[in-house]
Amino acid sequence: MALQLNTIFIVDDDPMAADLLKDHLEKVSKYNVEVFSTGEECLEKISILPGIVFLDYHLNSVKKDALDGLDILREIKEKSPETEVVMLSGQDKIDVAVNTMKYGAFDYIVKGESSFYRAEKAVFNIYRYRKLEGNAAKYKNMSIYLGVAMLMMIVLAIYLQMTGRITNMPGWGG
Amino acid sequence: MEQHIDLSFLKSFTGGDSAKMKKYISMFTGTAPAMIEKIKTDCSSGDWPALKTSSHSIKSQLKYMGADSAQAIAYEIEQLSAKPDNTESLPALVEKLSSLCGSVVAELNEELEKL
Repeated sequence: MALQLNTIFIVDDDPMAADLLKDHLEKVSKYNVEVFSTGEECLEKISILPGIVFLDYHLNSVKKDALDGLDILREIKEKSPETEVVMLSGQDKIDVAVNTMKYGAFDYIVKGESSFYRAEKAVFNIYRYRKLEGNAAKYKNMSIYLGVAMLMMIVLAIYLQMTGRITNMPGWGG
Repeated sequence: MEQHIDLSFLKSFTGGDSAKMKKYISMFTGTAPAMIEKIKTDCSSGDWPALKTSSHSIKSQLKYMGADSAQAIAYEIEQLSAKPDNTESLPALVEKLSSLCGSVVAELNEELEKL
Protein backbone atom coordinates (compact mmCIF):
# COMPACT_ATOMS: atom_id res chain seq x y z
CA MET A 1 0.00 0.00 0.00
CA ALA A 2 1.28 3.46 -0.91
CA LEU A 3 1.81 6.27 1.56
CA GLN A 4 -1.37 8.39 1.89
CA LEU A 5 0.32 11.74 1.33
CA ASN A 6 -2.91 13.69 1.85
CA THR A 7 -3.68 12.16 5.23
CA ILE A 8 -2.57 13.67 8.52
CA PHE A 9 -3.05 12.06 11.94
CA ILE A 10 -3.09 14.16 15.12
CA VAL A 11 -2.48 12.28 18.37
CA ASP A 12 -3.14 14.38 21.47
CA ASP A 13 -5.04 13.69 24.69
CA ASP A 14 -5.84 17.40 25.02
CA PRO A 15 -9.05 17.65 22.94
CA MET A 16 -8.88 21.42 22.60
CA ALA A 17 -5.29 21.46 21.31
CA ALA A 18 -6.09 18.63 18.90
CA ASP A 19 -9.24 20.35 17.59
CA LEU A 20 -7.50 23.70 17.17
CA LEU A 21 -4.71 22.05 15.16
CA LYS A 22 -7.20 20.05 13.07
CA ASP A 23 -9.23 23.19 12.27
CA HIS A 24 -6.08 25.10 11.34
CA LEU A 25 -4.64 22.40 9.06
CA GLU A 26 -8.00 21.90 7.33
CA LYS A 27 -8.25 25.65 6.80
CA VAL A 28 -4.81 26.05 5.23
CA SER A 29 -4.52 22.78 3.30
CA LYS A 30 -6.53 20.12 1.50
CA TYR A 31 -5.35 17.31 3.78
CA ASN A 32 -7.69 14.80 5.42
CA VAL A 33 -7.08 15.19 9.14
CA GLU A 34 -7.95 12.52 11.71
CA VAL A 35 -7.66 12.98 15.48
CA PHE A 36 -6.81 10.30 18.06
CA SER A 37 -6.72 10.81 21.82
CA THR A 38 -4.26 7.96 22.45
CA GLY A 39 -1.26 6.58 20.63
CA GLU A 40 -2.76 3.10 20.75
CA GLU A 41 -5.79 4.27 18.70
CA CYS A 42 -3.42 5.80 16.16
CA LEU A 43 -1.41 2.57 15.89
CA GLU A 44 -4.63 0.65 15.13
CA LYS A 45 -5.04 2.83 12.02
CA ILE A 46 -1.35 3.17 11.07
CA SER A 47 -1.73 0.48 8.38
CA ILE A 48 -3.35 3.12 6.12
CA LEU A 49 0.15 4.75 6.08
CA PRO A 50 -0.61 8.44 6.76
CA GLY A 51 1.78 10.97 5.22
CA ILE A 52 2.28 12.93 8.44
CA VAL A 53 1.57 12.33 12.14
CA PHE A 54 1.51 15.15 14.70
CA LEU A 55 2.26 13.39 17.96
CA ASP A 56 2.03 14.76 21.51
CA TYR A 57 5.02 13.90 23.69
CA HIS A 58 2.88 13.42 26.84
CA LEU A 59 -0.02 11.09 26.20
CA ASN A 60 -0.84 9.92 29.71
CA SER A 61 -2.79 12.80 31.21
CA VAL A 62 -6.14 11.06 30.65
CA LYS A 63 -5.17 7.38 30.65
CA LYS A 64 -2.40 6.76 33.17
CA ASP A 65 -1.25 3.51 31.52
CA ALA A 66 -1.23 4.97 27.97
CA LEU A 67 2.02 4.65 26.02
CA ASP A 68 3.93 7.92 25.84
CA GLY A 69 4.83 9.82 22.68
CA LEU A 70 8.33 8.40 22.34
CA ASP A 71 7.07 4.78 22.44
CA ILE A 72 4.43 5.62 19.84
CA LEU A 73 7.02 7.40 17.66
CA ARG A 74 9.18 4.26 17.63
CA GLU A 75 6.17 2.06 16.74
CA ILE A 76 5.10 4.39 13.93
CA LYS A 77 8.59 4.50 12.40
CA GLU A 78 8.79 0.70 12.61
CA LYS A 79 5.38 0.09 11.00
CA SER A 80 5.39 2.97 8.52
CA PRO A 81 8.97 4.26 8.04
CA GLU A 82 7.99 6.74 5.30
CA THR A 83 5.46 8.53 7.54
CA GLU A 84 6.97 11.78 8.85
CA VAL A 85 6.30 12.43 12.54
CA VAL A 86 6.20 15.92 14.07
CA MET A 87 6.40 15.89 17.86
CA LEU A 88 4.37 18.34 19.96
CA SER A 89 5.28 19.20 23.53
CA GLY A 90 4.49 21.75 26.19
CA GLN A 91 8.14 21.74 27.19
CA ASP A 92 10.83 23.74 25.44
CA LYS A 93 13.64 21.35 26.39
CA ILE A 94 16.55 20.69 24.08
CA ASP A 95 17.18 17.15 25.41
CA VAL A 96 13.54 16.18 24.73
CA ALA A 97 13.81 17.58 21.20
CA VAL A 98 17.12 15.81 20.52
CA ASN A 99 15.70 12.54 21.85
CA THR A 100 12.71 12.69 19.50
CA MET A 101 14.95 13.48 16.51
CA LYS A 102 17.14 10.52 17.44
CA TYR A 103 14.12 8.25 17.01
CA GLY A 104 13.30 9.70 13.61
CA ALA A 105 10.98 12.67 14.26
CA PHE A 106 11.02 15.22 11.44
CA ASP A 107 10.44 18.24 13.67
CA TYR A 108 9.65 19.27 17.26
CA ILE A 109 7.09 21.95 18.04
CA VAL A 110 6.55 23.59 21.42
CA LYS A 111 2.82 23.97 22.09
CA GLY A 112 1.44 27.46 22.37
CA GLU A 113 -0.32 30.13 20.36
CA SER A 114 2.26 30.04 17.55
CA SER A 115 2.40 26.24 17.35
CA PHE A 116 -0.43 26.12 14.76
CA TYR A 117 1.55 28.27 12.35
CA ARG A 118 4.70 26.23 13.00
CA ALA A 119 2.69 23.06 12.28
CA GLU A 120 1.55 24.57 8.98
CA LYS A 121 5.20 25.34 8.17
CA ALA A 122 6.21 21.76 9.08
CA VAL A 123 3.62 20.39 6.63
CA PHE A 124 5.06 22.64 3.91
CA ASN A 125 8.64 21.61 4.78
CA ILE A 126 7.74 17.92 4.62
CA TYR A 127 6.09 18.47 1.22
CA ARG A 128 9.20 20.31 -0.04
CA TYR A 129 11.56 17.71 1.44
CA ARG A 130 9.67 14.90 -0.31
CA LYS A 131 9.74 16.79 -3.59
CA LEU A 132 13.51 17.36 -3.30
CA GLU A 133 14.03 13.72 -2.36
CA GLY A 134 12.04 12.67 -5.45
CA ASN A 135 14.05 15.02 -7.68
CA ALA A 136 17.36 13.77 -6.24
CA ALA A 137 16.36 10.16 -7.02
CA LYS A 138 15.33 11.20 -10.56
CA TYR A 139 18.67 13.00 -11.21
CA LYS A 140 20.62 10.07 -9.78
CA ASN A 141 18.89 7.65 -12.18
CA MET A 142 19.36 10.06 -15.07
CA SER A 143 23.13 10.37 -14.45
CA ILE A 144 23.46 6.56 -14.26
CA TYR A 145 21.68 6.18 -17.65
CA LEU A 146 23.85 8.92 -19.19
CA GLY A 147 27.04 7.31 -17.86
CA VAL A 148 26.07 3.88 -19.23
CA ALA A 149 25.15 5.40 -22.62
CA MET A 150 28.50 7.23 -22.87
CA LEU A 151 30.42 4.09 -21.91
CA MET A 152 28.57 2.08 -24.58
CA MET A 153 29.39 4.73 -27.21
CA ILE A 154 33.09 4.67 -26.29
CA VAL A 155 33.20 0.85 -26.39
CA LEU A 156 31.41 0.89 -29.78
CA ALA A 157 33.83 3.50 -31.17
CA ILE A 158 36.86 1.48 -29.98
CA TYR A 159 35.37 -1.69 -31.47
CA LEU A 160 34.70 -0.02 -34.82
CA GLN A 161 38.18 1.47 -34.88
CA MET A 162 39.87 -1.82 -33.98
CA THR A 163 37.94 -3.81 -36.58
CA GLY A 164 38.88 -1.27 -39.23
CA ARG A 165 35.34 -0.19 -39.95
CA ILE A 166 36.23 3.37 -39.09
CA THR A 167 39.49 4.65 -40.44
CA ASN A 168 39.07 8.37 -40.70
CA MET A 169 37.42 9.44 -37.45
CA PRO A 170 38.48 12.98 -36.60
CA GLY A 171 41.09 12.97 -33.85
CA TRP A 172 41.86 9.25 -34.28
CA GLY A 173 45.16 8.14 -35.74
CA GLY A 174 45.63 5.66 -38.61
CA MET B 1 -13.54 44.81 37.81
CA GLU B 2 -10.42 42.79 37.00
CA GLN B 3 -10.63 40.85 33.75
CA HIS B 4 -9.20 37.31 33.86
CA ILE B 5 -9.50 36.41 30.18
CA ASP B 6 -8.36 37.84 26.87
CA LEU B 7 -9.96 36.24 23.82
CA SER B 8 -7.79 37.99 21.23
CA PHE B 9 -5.93 34.77 20.29
CA LEU B 10 -9.20 32.86 19.84
CA LYS B 11 -10.73 35.71 17.82
CA SER B 12 -7.71 35.90 15.55
CA PHE B 13 -7.44 32.12 15.22
CA THR B 14 -11.10 31.66 14.27
CA GLY B 15 -11.18 34.81 12.17
CA GLY B 16 -14.07 35.96 14.37
CA ASP B 17 -16.21 32.92 13.48
CA SER B 18 -18.65 32.92 16.40
CA ALA B 19 -19.63 29.23 15.98
CA LYS B 20 -15.98 28.19 16.34
CA MET B 21 -15.45 30.60 19.23
CA LYS B 22 -18.46 29.05 20.97
CA LYS B 23 -17.12 25.55 20.32
CA TYR B 24 -13.74 26.23 21.93
CA ILE B 25 -15.09 28.27 24.84
CA SER B 26 -17.70 25.58 25.58
CA MET B 27 -15.00 22.91 25.43
CA PHE B 28 -13.12 24.76 28.14
CA THR B 29 -16.10 25.65 30.34
CA GLY B 30 -17.35 22.06 30.02
CA THR B 31 -14.10 20.43 31.12
CA ALA B 32 -12.42 22.97 33.43
CA PRO B 33 -14.49 22.24 36.58
CA ALA B 34 -13.64 18.52 36.39
CA MET B 35 -9.98 19.33 35.72
CA ILE B 36 -9.86 21.59 38.78
CA GLU B 37 -11.49 18.88 40.91
CA LYS B 38 -8.84 16.44 39.70
CA ILE B 39 -6.07 18.93 40.61
CA LYS B 40 -7.56 19.37 44.09
CA THR B 41 -7.82 15.59 44.61
CA ASP B 42 -4.25 15.00 43.41
CA CYS B 43 -3.00 17.72 45.75
CA SER B 44 -4.94 16.61 48.84
CA SER B 45 -3.86 13.00 48.32
CA GLY B 46 -0.22 14.07 47.87
CA ASP B 47 0.00 12.38 44.48
CA TRP B 48 2.62 14.77 43.07
CA PRO B 49 3.24 13.03 39.73
CA ALA B 50 -0.52 13.06 39.07
CA LEU B 51 -0.70 16.73 40.13
CA LYS B 52 2.11 17.54 37.71
CA THR B 53 0.15 15.90 34.88
CA SER B 54 -3.23 17.43 35.76
CA SER B 55 -1.82 20.96 36.15
CA HIS B 56 0.06 20.52 32.86
CA SER B 57 -3.21 19.60 31.12
CA ILE B 58 -5.14 22.68 32.18
CA LYS B 59 -2.17 25.00 31.55
CA SER B 60 -2.34 25.03 27.74
CA GLN B 61 -6.14 25.37 27.71
CA LEU B 62 -5.91 28.42 30.00
CA LYS B 63 -3.38 29.89 27.58
CA TYR B 64 -5.81 29.59 24.65
CA MET B 65 -8.46 31.44 26.71
CA GLY B 66 -5.97 34.23 27.43
CA ALA B 67 -6.17 33.47 31.16
CA ASP B 68 -2.55 34.38 31.75
CA SER B 69 -2.59 34.75 35.53
CA ALA B 70 -4.32 31.37 36.03
CA GLN B 71 -1.95 29.80 33.49
CA ALA B 72 1.07 31.16 35.41
CA ILE B 73 -0.19 29.51 38.60
CA ALA B 74 -0.85 26.21 36.81
CA TYR B 75 2.73 26.39 35.53
CA GLU B 76 4.04 27.02 39.06
CA ILE B 77 2.07 24.03 40.39
CA GLU B 78 3.43 21.86 37.58
CA GLN B 79 7.02 22.91 38.35
CA LEU B 80 6.71 22.53 42.15
CA SER B 81 5.00 19.14 41.96
CA ALA B 82 8.00 17.85 40.02
CA LYS B 83 10.12 18.52 43.15
CA PRO B 84 8.73 16.39 46.00
CA ASP B 85 10.87 18.25 48.61
CA ASN B 86 9.20 21.54 47.87
CA THR B 87 5.47 20.91 48.08
CA GLU B 88 4.33 22.89 51.14
CA SER B 89 3.10 25.85 49.09
CA LEU B 90 1.07 23.65 46.71
CA PRO B 91 -2.28 23.55 48.61
CA ALA B 92 -2.46 27.36 48.68
CA LEU B 93 -1.55 27.58 45.00
CA VAL B 94 -4.18 24.99 44.09
CA GLU B 95 -6.81 27.00 46.01
CA LYS B 96 -5.73 30.15 44.18
CA LEU B 97 -5.92 28.36 40.82
CA SER B 98 -9.36 27.01 41.66
CA SER B 99 -10.63 30.47 42.57
CA LEU B 100 -9.12 32.06 39.44
CA CYS B 101 -10.57 29.32 37.22
CA GLY B 102 -13.99 30.00 38.76
CA SER B 103 -13.68 33.62 37.62
CA VAL B 104 -12.36 32.56 34.19
CA VAL B 105 -15.31 30.19 33.63
CA ALA B 106 -17.81 32.86 34.79
CA GLU B 107 -16.34 35.43 32.37
CA LEU B 108 -16.32 32.89 29.54
CA ASN B 109 -19.97 32.07 30.19
CA GLU B 110 -20.75 35.79 29.87
CA GLU B 111 -18.86 35.84 26.54
CA LEU B 112 -20.82 32.80 25.38
CA GLU B 113 -24.08 34.66 25.98
CA LYS B 114 -22.84 37.57 23.87
CA LEU B 115 -21.83 35.36 20.93
